[in-house]
Amino acid sequence: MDIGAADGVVRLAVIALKNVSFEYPGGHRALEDVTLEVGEGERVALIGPNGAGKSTLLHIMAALEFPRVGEVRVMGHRVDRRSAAEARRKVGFLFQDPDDQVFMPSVYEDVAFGPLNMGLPEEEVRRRVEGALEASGAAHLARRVPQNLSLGEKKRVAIAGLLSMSPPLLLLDEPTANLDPQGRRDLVNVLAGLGQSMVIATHDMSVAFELAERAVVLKGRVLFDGDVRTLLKRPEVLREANLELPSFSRLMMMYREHIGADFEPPLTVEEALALLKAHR
Amino acid sequence: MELHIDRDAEGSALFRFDPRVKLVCIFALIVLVSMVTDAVALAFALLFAVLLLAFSRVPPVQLARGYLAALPFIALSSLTMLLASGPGSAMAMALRVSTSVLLLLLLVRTTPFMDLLWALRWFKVPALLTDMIMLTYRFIFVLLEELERMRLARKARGFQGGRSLLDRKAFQVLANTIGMVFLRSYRRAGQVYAALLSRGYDGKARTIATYRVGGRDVALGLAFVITGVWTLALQMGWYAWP
Repeated sequence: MDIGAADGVVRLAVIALKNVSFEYPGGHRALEDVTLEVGEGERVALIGPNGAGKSTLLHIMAALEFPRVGEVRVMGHRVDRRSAAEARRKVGFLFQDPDDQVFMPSVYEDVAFGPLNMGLPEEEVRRRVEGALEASGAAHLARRVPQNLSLGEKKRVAIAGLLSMSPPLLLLDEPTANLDPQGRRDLVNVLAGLGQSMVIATHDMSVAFELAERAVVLKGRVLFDGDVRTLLKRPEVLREANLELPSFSRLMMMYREHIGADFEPPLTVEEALALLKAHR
Repeated sequence: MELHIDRDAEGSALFRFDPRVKLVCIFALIVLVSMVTDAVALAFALLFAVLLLAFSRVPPVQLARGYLAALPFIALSSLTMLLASGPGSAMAMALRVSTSVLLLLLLVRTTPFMDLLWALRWFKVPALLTDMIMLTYRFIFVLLEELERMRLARKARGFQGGRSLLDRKAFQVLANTIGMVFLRSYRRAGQVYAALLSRGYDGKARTIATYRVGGRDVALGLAFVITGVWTLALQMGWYAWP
């Protein structure tokens, strides 16, 4: 399945959801008529308040839950219970709590878990484990045991565990939640350096701005799907989804009103600084 | 919390020995010892276990701690024998259980945990069992942390703990804690299973371990065979000390 991207280049959709609705047993409707495509190498921020269905959507994308209504395709192949194992191999899912995910008793064994399940020969497994630990900045942790790692370290080990399977798509559930500033910075740098397509579910708008060029705002259904800069100009969407711009963005908007100038809300601190210099 | 099962394994002289050989030898000797009744034969087997431990260079403090943990069981079983059939049997029971405990300590202290699981898998122990042992070992620490957080939360809100065994209120709180732990474990089990699935788990975990039975493994095996035969000989009266 091909989609035409905004720049006119035809890109392959890594994952495509069509009219997906999902209801939990007991009748709670978590998702309604979600249609969404993620292109190759594209990074999408999935933004929405608590209970908006972000985790449910990620679970569906990871072939861990199956919608009764609608269609999910991973790399063009339709996902159902029978083809789920194949789909899971192409989608790496970073859980919010790394303790759920780093389940092997040692870091090295944990990163090797996926490739071993893929039936790769030992040499290839070792090569992949080392490459993945390197790419996630966790090479120095290889011989450690998970229970002695910090949260940020555990997250990076969990990412290595995904990368070792080299999936074309990564799903990240609140990757920076509960991290200290340094841990958050390290993680953002690691993610920014990866070439995979990504769906990043987050509350943290500045992480979304830094990593993604496209934003999808979710509240049961898709409220907004487009460029992050366009999202900033849609206060009604931000309000409905209980979103708040980073403080420097809000400061610059107040400043704009104060001096009567006209510029777009900045996405990063650097952009804010450039605006201040230009409009003093 | 520094609690690591493989802490001493790498420093041990028996570290790179094939875990399959260790596993078979140690279990065979334990089975043999459990059938021996002669005190001299048992003392001989115990001596062998102690010598092997000395050779393995496992820190004595660790061994003592492991042995102490088993001591109540040794004492209880010996006491039962003392009351049932006299001091000779009690002595034999103490020697027998001590030998087994020391041999098991030798096994777990000198073999990396994952390699031990690999050996078990090699002997066709069902994956359900080995995978469960593996995940249990990992999640004990997560559970302990969770319990510690809950203990602190109780304390922070003024819970004092029971003043006596009959303090109903304290028991109620503890019962709630246990219920909470079950609930959280249940939720976590679901998450862990999802994580296993998304990384291609198909009911059988695989690990990297490459061992080949070499000369030293044969030597270790021979030492066990000789000890076993000698112990048996002492038991059956084929041989008496000069």
